[in-house]
Amino acid sequence: MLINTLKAQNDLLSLLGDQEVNQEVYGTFKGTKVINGQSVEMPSKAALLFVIEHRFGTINSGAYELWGLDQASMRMSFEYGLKEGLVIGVARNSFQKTYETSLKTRLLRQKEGAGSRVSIATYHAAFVNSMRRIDSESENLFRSRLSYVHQVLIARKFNRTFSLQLTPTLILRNLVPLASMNNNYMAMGVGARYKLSNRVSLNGEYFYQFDRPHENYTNSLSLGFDIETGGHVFQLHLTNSQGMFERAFVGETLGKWSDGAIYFGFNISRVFQ
Amino acid sequence: MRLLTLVLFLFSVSPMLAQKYMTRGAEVSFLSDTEAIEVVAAINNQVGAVIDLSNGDLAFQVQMRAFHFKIALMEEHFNENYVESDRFPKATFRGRFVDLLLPNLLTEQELSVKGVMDLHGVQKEMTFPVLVKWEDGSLVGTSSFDLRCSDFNIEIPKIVSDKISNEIQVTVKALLTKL
Repeated sequence: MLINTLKAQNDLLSLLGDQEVNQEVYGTFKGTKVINGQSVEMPSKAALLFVIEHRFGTINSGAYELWGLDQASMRMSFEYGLKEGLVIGVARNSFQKTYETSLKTRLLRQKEGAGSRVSIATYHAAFVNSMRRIDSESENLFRSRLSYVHQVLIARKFNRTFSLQLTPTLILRNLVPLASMNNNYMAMGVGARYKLSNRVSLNGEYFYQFDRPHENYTNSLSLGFDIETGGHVFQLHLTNSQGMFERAFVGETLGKWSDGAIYFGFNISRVFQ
Repeated sequence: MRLLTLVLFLFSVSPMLAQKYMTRGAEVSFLSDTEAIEVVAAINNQVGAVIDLSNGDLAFQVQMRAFHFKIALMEEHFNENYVESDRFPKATFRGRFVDLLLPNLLTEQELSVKGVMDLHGVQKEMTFPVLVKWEDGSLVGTSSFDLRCSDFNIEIPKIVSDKISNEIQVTVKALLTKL
C-alpha cells in the first residue's frame, strides 16, 4: 500500500524535474593556507580572517631545547574580503621583523557538471624587512628592504576527499647578497589534501626552486593535518621551513628532512563576520 | 447505456487530471535555536512542490545547495559536514493528506499530512500538521515542524553541540497554482 502511493508520488516528483542550483565547488581546502603557502580559499565578502602561526625550533636540537619547543617564530595576519573574490591582507613575521601587505583575487571557480574544471586565484604580496641596519657603510635605502611574490593558484577538487593545487611562483628581490645571485627567480609549488573525515584532512606541500646560482637553500617540504571546528581551523604540521611568508619558505629554507632539521608548527585561523 | 457510462467516466476523470497544483518557488527555512550568539538559520526559496487534489497525494523536492545562510562559511559547513550535499543533493517528502482537502473552501483548513521524508540518505515516516487555504484559485499551505538531526544520521560533534541543536525547527510556505 505504502509502496504504491510512493510510486504515484514519485510520478508527482518527476513533474518537477531537476531544478537548477548553484554548482560551484566548495571546500577545496579547509584553510586559506595549504600549510605554508596560500590555497585557493579566501574569506568571503565582509569576513575578517585572523591567522596566527608558530614554528618552533628544529626537532633535532635535542632535549636541552625540548626538541625545539623553547624557540618559536611567529606570523600573524589579518585577511579581509572587500568583496566576493577580492581579499586584502596585512601580516607581521618575527623572521627579519618582516611586514607584509597582500592582495588575493579569485579568477575562476570550479563547477560541478558543465563549467570550469579548476579554481584559479592569484596572490600578490610585498614584504618589508624592518631590521635595524647593521652595515653602516652602505646606503640605507628603503627599497633595498623590499621583496615581492606573485603566484597563480590553480586547484582542482577531484572528489570529496582529494584536492590538488599547482602554484607557479615568482619571487622578486630588490637586494641580494652578491651580484652573481638572481634577483628574480621562479618556483613551482604543489599542494594536496586528503580528507580523512568530515573535519580532519591530511595535507602536503612542496616548492621546487629554479635558477638559484650561488645560493644554497633547500626546497620546502611540509606535511600536516587540518582540523576544523566551526569557525576555527587548526593546522598542525612538520616542515623544513621556519619562515612563514613566501620569500622565506620558498627561497630561504635551510632545514633538511634527512638531518631531522625540521620544525613542528601550527596555524590557527578564526573567521569574524 | 454504454455511452452514458463513458460520459460519466470522462466527467469523473477529467477534473482529476486538472487537479494538480504545482510550484517551483516554495520556501523552506530552518533554525537551530540555541543560546549561541551566531544563530544557525537558512532559507531556500527554490523548493518544488506538487499536490494532486484527486487523491490528496503530495510531493516536495528540496535542493540542499539552494539553502542560503547569512554567513558563507556556515553554508559551506552545512553542505560539506552536515547534510553532505555532494552525496545527497536533494531531500524529498512524499506523502498524502490524511484528512480530506476540500476544494474551494474559503476558510483555512488545518489538515494532517503523512508520508516519507528522505533526507541525508535516510527515509523516515512522518506526520505533521498543515494549514491550507485557497487564494484566488491558488492553494496556499504552511507548516512548521521539528526534525531531529540524529534521526537522519546527521552528526553534531560535541565541540559545537552548544551552537547547533539536535532539534531543527523547519518552516514550509508554498503557493501552488493549477498545472
